[in-house]
Amino acid sequence: MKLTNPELIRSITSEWKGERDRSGRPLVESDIVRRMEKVTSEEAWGVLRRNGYHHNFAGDFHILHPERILVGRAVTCRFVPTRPDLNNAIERTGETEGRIGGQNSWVIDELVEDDVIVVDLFGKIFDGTFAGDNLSTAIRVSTKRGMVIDGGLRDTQRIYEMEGFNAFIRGMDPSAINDVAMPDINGIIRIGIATCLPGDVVLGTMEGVMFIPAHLAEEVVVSSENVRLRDEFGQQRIAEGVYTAGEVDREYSEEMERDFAEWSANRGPA
Amino acid sequence: MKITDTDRIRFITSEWSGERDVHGRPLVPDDILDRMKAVTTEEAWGVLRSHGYHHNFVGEFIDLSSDARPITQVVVGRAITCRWVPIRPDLHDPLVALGEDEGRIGFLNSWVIDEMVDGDVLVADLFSRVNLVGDNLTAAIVANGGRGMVIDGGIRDTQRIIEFPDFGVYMRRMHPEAIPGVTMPDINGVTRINQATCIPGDVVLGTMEGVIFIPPHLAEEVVVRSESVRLRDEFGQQRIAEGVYTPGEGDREFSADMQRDYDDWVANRQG
Repeated sequence: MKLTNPELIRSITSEWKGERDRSGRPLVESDIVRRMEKVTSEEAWGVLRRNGYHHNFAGDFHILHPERILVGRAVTCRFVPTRPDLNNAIERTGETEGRIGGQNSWVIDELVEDDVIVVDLFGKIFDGTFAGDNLSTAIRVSTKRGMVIDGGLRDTQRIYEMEGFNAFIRGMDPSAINDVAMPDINGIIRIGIATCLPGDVVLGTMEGVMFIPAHLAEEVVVSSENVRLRDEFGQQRIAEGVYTAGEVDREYSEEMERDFAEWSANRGPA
Repeated sequence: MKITDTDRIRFITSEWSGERDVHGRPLVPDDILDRMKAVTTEEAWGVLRSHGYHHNFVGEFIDLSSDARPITQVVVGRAITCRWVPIRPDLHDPLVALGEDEGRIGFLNSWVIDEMVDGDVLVADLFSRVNLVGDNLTAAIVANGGRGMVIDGGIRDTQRIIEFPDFGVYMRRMHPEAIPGVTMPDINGVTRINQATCIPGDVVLGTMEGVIFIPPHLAEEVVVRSESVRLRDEFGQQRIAEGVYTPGEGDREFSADMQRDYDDWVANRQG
């Protein structure tokens, strides 16, 4: 038995032509991940909708730091209520693969910089806390990003103090994770009303979490940067008294378009 | 890429040493299934608890009991599972292409129904929100020998579906819509139905209380234990009626004398 099925992930993410890790997980470039930090939920949503992706946003989270943006490459895992037959099979597999500790730590051991761990714990909070402060420290040190948990968190007061880290969770509870088993690492998972695939770029804002397919990440970033550039130009020109609000807030005239092109060329990168 | 992971099913169900189907799914014998119909939810639950299985019962389904479907109907069969998630083109398109390569037709919900055989119960995770079938696909399940369906989701054409005789339906919602906005990454994978986990080949026991998923290697023990309890109850109640023992004697561990009496009674009992 395998916890990860790279063949399946490669097949599903075949539109991604770039690099992958050994799980078959697409590795969107670090530059795109960094530029994604400025994209709003609506900008990403617009590009996804246009491409036929209608089930990639999950809301209704408790967000540890709503003022912080969470961006990174998704590493996924799925938990189910445990059964001895299933759990024994998973434990034997883990032993064969040289994994140690609880099953939740197995997936944490695989994390690298710029990952975001995305966990299906089916909304379980009591006995459903994916991490406390120790495992959160491990996640923070490895990823420098954060986590999305359709489940619970413990040691929240300690985790709240961690710099450069964020958590999207369904609830908090002092109990530890118990009575669950993890049949999949980097499989196809559901988070609320959204589906997440490994290698998706996670964009977490104060509104919730967007799972951006790897092959659309660059388009999302570029589209957002264009919108921002036009907004900056338009607002500057309104302040200068060059155009009226009505002229700016519709499709540009040919003359305005030329003005914008010149302005962009002289402005340098956003 | 495969929708069904045969190696995984075999590995998880390695305690089962009997027959399997082509997908590696354990096939508990028909005789055990027949005898399972007389087992109560609590009897099965007791055996599962004693083996450390605490998350195999799920309840709170919509009660469809009516004159057409008496509430006492019991559903028994072998689980065939499917898991659904909200649809994404990158996920759905390769699944459809794969199904076409494998010669499958129709939408994905019909693929799993096409695999059903006599004595199966369809178990589907639709995260309580989406329908799985209407009356046409239900007719296909019945035609394939399906004994019932357990849907953490909904059905349409409910008025027609309740008319199928000897067919059990456990579901969360009724809605006239079809099956919008979902796709199916797994057939016969590990499937969560609310707070319980179902593995393909489990014996599904559905009663008026809800559904219990019995691991195949425990199915015979569940049946035998239940039959033994029923036999002792029958003996005890008969002897109390005859005035041989008091209720207190019948409702605790039998004395050595009573145990001998019981063994004789069992040996002489017809049927």
